[in-house]
Amino acid sequence: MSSTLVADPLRLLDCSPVSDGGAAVILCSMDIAKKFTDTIIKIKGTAQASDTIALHSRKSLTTLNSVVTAAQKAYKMAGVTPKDINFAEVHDCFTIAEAVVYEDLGFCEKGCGGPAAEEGRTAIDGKTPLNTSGGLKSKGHPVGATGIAQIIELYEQLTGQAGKRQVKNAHIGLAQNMGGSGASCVINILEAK
Amino acid sequence: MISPRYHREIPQRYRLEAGKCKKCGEVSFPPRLVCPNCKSQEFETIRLKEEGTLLTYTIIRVASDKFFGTTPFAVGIVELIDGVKLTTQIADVNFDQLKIGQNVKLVFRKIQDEGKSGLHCYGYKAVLI
Repeated sequence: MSSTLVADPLRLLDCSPVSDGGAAVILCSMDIAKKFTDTIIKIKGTAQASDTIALHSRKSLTTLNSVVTAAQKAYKMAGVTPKDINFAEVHDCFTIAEAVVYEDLGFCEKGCGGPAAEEGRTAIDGKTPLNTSGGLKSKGHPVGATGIAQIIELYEQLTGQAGKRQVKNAHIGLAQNMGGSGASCVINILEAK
Repeated sequence: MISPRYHREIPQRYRLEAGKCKKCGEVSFPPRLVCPNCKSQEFETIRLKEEGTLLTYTIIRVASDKFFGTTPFAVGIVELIDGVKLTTQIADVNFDQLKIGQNVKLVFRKIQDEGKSGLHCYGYKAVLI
């Protein structure tokens, strides 16, 4: 909270460090996957949505419409509601992004994203653990690799391989990635097989 | 910003020229080829009024390379009385004076120097009224 101001009220440690990194997953049908491994996770829902790139063209500055729309589509495809999500990886490029996305994913009412973090609801033993990987701010943000890195964290959690970061009863996880301050958003809901 | 793009954007940056849809009346700034409201492709050019209201703002303390050496400066979203919203620097201001909801107007100012040759690029900035 005492680091250098970058753009009021965001300080240096509110901003994710753009960094180098790589990530990869193997994507294939369930039949083929079974030939390679027993630790399989399944895509339950996947959706994309977009919005204007200019913030000033949006109706609200505190709602990311691409996140709201992509979430509704992904929940519908998966046949789940926000209450069914055991944990999530979200695109916390800046501190405010996590708070707004938490709300727009339907985990709480509008305006409660900040208090949710403060009260520990997003902690590893909270109601909806967020960013057990550390998220973009703590893990780094290798822009092109960030989305797949989120999927890898979901894989490790859903297959019980997350070690000290392991969330209890991790059966369904959600990954929310976005670009252009929410001009586009992709949401995947994955399930332990 | 590269020179050809700067040159093409002079009508909107110098004279606030916007496109008003002939079919539904939606005003697009910068002008568009297709109306985002009704998909019409017929527009008339109008000149926006300079006055508006400050909707939100921040103070940039660490800027991108293009604006290196000019920090700190204020940037805000302004809603003009024509209903058009835009993002712009707020000039000639003591940061303590800034408040959401203040009346502002757009003025003609230098925005940046481009490239090694230092070509002056002009455009609009907001000032408090």
